[in-house]
Amino acid sequence: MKWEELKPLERELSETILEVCRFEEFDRDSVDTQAPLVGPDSCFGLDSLDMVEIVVAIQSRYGVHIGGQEEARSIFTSLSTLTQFIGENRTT
Amino acid sequence: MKVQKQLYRRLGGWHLYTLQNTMGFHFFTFSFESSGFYWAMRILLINPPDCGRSIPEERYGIDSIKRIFRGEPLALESLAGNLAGHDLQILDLKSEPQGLEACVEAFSPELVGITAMTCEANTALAIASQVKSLCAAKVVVGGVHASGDPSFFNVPQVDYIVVGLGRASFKELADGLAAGGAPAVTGVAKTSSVALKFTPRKFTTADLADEMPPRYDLVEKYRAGYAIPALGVTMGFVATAAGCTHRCDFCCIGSLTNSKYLLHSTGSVLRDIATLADSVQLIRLVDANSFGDTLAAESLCEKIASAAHPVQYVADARADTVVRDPELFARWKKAGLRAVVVGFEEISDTRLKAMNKGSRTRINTEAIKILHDIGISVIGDFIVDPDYTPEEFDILEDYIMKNNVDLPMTSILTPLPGTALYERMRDRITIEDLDYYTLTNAVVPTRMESESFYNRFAQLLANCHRDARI
Ligand code: B12
Ligand code: SF4
Repeated sequence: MKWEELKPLERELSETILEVCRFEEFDRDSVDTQAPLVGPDSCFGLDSLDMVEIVVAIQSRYGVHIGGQEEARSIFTSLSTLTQFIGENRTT
Repeated sequence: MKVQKQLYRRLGGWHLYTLQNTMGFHFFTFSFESSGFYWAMRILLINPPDCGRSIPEERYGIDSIKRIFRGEPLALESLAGNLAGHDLQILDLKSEPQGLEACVEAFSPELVGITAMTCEANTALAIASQVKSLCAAKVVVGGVHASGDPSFFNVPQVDYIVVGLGRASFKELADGLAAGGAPAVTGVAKTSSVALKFTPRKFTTADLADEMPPRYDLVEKYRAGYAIPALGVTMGFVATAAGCTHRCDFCCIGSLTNSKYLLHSTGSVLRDIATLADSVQLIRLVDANSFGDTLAAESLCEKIASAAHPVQYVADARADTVVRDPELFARWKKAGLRAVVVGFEEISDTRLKAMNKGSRTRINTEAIKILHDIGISVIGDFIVDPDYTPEEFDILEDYIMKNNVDLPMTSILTPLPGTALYERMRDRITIEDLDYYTLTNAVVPTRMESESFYNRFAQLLANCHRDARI
């Protein structure tokens, strides 16, 4: 999907992911909002440790609370599920 | 002479008759088992004294780098627990440094087991020689150094080397020897004048032998000394797991289980806690990683909470586990978890990656925050690389102070034989004498001038320990 076609929050979250994981040379047009966010098919190439770092960053940036591993896994299914969760729960 | 009959309940059930003379000395013992008949043996299990040498002290008179507190030799209690039918004693030379000769003479063991960490390996050999000079016992060495580098113990004063978890393999060996054989047991190497050969053991939960409790009673006379004097608390040890889920390159834990992570049954953990709960204030879960299976840790927590013993707990957890599952630790806090030991190791992501630590600085920092928010003290392990520059020491100290690590434990990166790090650094090792492998000496050259390195290391410890608490 073209970078410009992403929703603003999807773009913002993608930037956060890239910043946290220090992916400097990432082709932003390759973001797939429905693809798994973590694992071998992740369009960002995230592993489970990246996910832990992103959870930490997102909790403090958006004032949300992600309780445990199960909850994190379902929120991090795809960029689309993450965007929905942040959209509905952000406090900042 | 009186004949005592003790009935042990075990699968199949069997009887042990202990014959004692009027002085109360054990004369001889024998056992009938459903599977056969063997002479029971007098087995002495020895914990080496506090040992290890210090470069900063010997070369520069820096004697402030000391970190010894006493704890029970759980490995030996645990081995003894699975040796029912034999006549057993534990000699803790950390509590009774001069006790070897008198003990061997009075007990006259037929089999002696010695445990040893790497810095105790030379001392273990010296103990083995002394035992051989005092009696005809067969000598077996086991523990973390024997598991990482078994060939070190392939010497005449040692008869067998137990590699990895020893409860089941040592029992097989002892029973076999008692029956008069020279048994071939997987995970046990018979020493020889040529290269050591043995079949590695495929460890499973059967090697934990959970149905047989550790013999905590065998160290009763030492128990008052198993304490943390600075906190004024008595402390007991319980194991909930063996091995680890990870493979950090400096760590020797993997060699104990052939890199498996094995959980003790919840029932056995609760039983051991209940045994100690009346006599100690603090229970240290001595596992390398007590939260490697979060579902099991959750269920154990619930049961510990319902048992409501008046004790507190200290356990090891990985930083990423804390961050992944903060609520698990909140529940453990309610169950009595007072402090968590976290191996942060480094404050540079590059170095964490090179160690294969599977964590990152940001995650480490978040773990400290989460544990503090919950009200759990953080005992943080940090490793100083001999390559450290003065600036890196400053950054580490700054990190520890800023993040209020309650009790920082700093060690010096040491290539322990048997680890991946050893292979990576072996060409640089200049100090081979294992007495120095206490993790408070640099066994490869330091980048900083040596005296400045140790002065800065000592200063780091002093500064960080000024307000230490748990
Ligand atoms: C408790 C503990 C201590 C206690 C020791 C209590 C005692 N024995 O007196 C205290 C606090 C005193 C201590 C001190 C030190 N410790 Co310590 N300690 C531990 C800890 C946390 C648990 C050990 C334990 O009880 N495990 C439970 C038992 C059941 O398991 P086990 O010991 O592995 O035993 C099994 C097998 O190994 C085998 N086995 C063991 N011994 C024997 C003997 C025989 C005959 C047989 C057949 C089998 C066998 O069978 C057992 C049952 O399956 C380990 C880390 C860990 N999680 O393992 C570090 C650890 C062993 N310690 C370590 C270190 C470095 C030290 C110190 C040097 C620290 C320091 N810088 O001061 C000092 C050394 C003290 C000295 N000699 O001067 C390192 C050792 C690394 C190495 N290769 O040497 C470890 C692995 C921690 C780490 N990850 O780095 N320690
Ligand atoms: S997490 Fe801890 S116990 Fe596990 S391998 Fe790494 S250092 Fe060793």
